[in-house]
This record gives sequence, structure tokens and C-alpha cells, in this order.
Amino acid sequence: MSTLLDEEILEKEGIALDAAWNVVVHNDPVNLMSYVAMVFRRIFGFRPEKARKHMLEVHHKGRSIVWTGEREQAELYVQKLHAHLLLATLERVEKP
Amino acid sequence: MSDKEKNSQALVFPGIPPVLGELLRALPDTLELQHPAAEERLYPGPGDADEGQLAEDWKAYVEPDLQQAFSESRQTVTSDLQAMKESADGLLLRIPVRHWDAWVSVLTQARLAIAAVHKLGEEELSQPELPEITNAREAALHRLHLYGLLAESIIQAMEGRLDLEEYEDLESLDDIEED
Repeated sequence: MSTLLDEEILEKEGIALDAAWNVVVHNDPVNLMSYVAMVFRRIFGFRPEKARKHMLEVHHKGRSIVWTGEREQAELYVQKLHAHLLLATLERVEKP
Repeated sequence: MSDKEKNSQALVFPGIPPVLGELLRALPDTLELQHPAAEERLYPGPGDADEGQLAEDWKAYVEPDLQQAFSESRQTVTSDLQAMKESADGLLLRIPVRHWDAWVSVLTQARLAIAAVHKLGEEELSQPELPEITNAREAALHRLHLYGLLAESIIQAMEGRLDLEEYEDLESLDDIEED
């Protein structure tokens, strides 16, 4: 599936691809779309358009990678997403 | 707007019929049932099946924090519900700005719990019209819809898409539904 992040971002931040983790948000038919977009804005500081893009990716494709980076930070993001009742998981980045 | 002015503002829902008032009052109790399906949805694991230690740590350290946060939000909502006033045209619910986050959380908790317990999914939730209530599952769908309308109203206010004054002028929940 497509991601909204790319390897260039990781390179720029000095994170080796094999040490990177994805924060994935999964579709949930119950959560309101407006709520999901608002949570993305709050937690990740996304602009409204980007938050909406990820929200729609979750809705239509079943999941969206909303952040990629070091594991510790990824765990914190998943924890925050759970506190906002979004279905989120941590996934190791697959090597190409 | 100064912080003081902002804190003094609230969403006000006047003219709530007694039946809807009872459904709202049932909101915190919905989350005290501790049904396994609801618990599983409210406290999901962190994923990645090969990370067994992470799943254990999550249960030991993250879940209690979530339980505490959810419990506090329920207390906030309960206090607002207990403060609902009766008037000639129904009940009046006032939700102060500082309680909006708690309300959205509790409404979302309740919707997820109800959907998990009654196995309500995409098919039921995307129906254009709500069915007549003939069983507990259909009643649950109505509750889920009502809580969703209220959550959406608060989220819209949070996003600044609705003027607070507009809410002060609303005469009943029906006016919100028509929007």
C-alpha cells in the first residue's frame, strides 16, 4: 500500500531504515471522521489538509501510516492515539 | 478572546425531551459494565505480534494510565449530567468549554463499547435511516447515533466551525439534527 512518508524523511533525520518504526492507524467504522482528523491535527500537528488526507486513507484503504521514526517516539504516539480511542499499532518498517 | 471569557463559555442544549435525557444519563453507566468485547476495543494492544514483551509492558504500564484518564473523563461528564436542569420545555444540558474533551472522549468510549458489545459495524452504521426499535440491538444503534450527533456538535464547536452564540439560540436537539 502507499504511504504518505518516504525514505528521504528518515534519511534527513538520520534514522536507519532498519531501525525505523511506523505508527499505523486502522479503520474503525464507529469513530467519527471529523474526530479522527482532529486527533491527527492535535497529536501530530498536521495541517487540516494533511489530517484529512490521512483520515481518508484510513477510511478508504483500511489503514494509514501517520508517522515513521524511532521506536520510542513511535510508542508514545501509539499511546496518545489509544488515549484518543483510535485503533493504532506499531509496525517495524519493512526493508524494500 | 481571553482565557477567562473562553472558560466561562459553554455549549448549551436546551429543550431535551425526557427520553433523550435518560439516554444521556445512561452514558457513564454504559462504560461501567466491563464487557470483554468493550474492554478489548477500549484497550487495544500495541500491535506487532512478535513483540511479546511490548504487549506485556503495554498491559502493565499503558493500560492503567488509559483507565485512569477514561475514568476521570467519565466523572466530569457525570457531574455535567447531574447538573442538568429541568425547565418547562425539557431538560437543559450545559457543557463548559473545559469539559469538551472529556465529553468527546466519553461519547466515543460509549459508542465504541456499544458497537463492540452489540457487534454493530459498517453495514449498520451506514444505513441511511435508523430502524424502528424492536430489539436491544436496534436500541443500541439509536443510542450510538444519538451519542454521535452530540459528539459531532462538540467537535464542530472545538474546530471553531460553529459560533457559540448559535448554540445559545438553539431551541432543542432537533435543531442540531436538522443541521
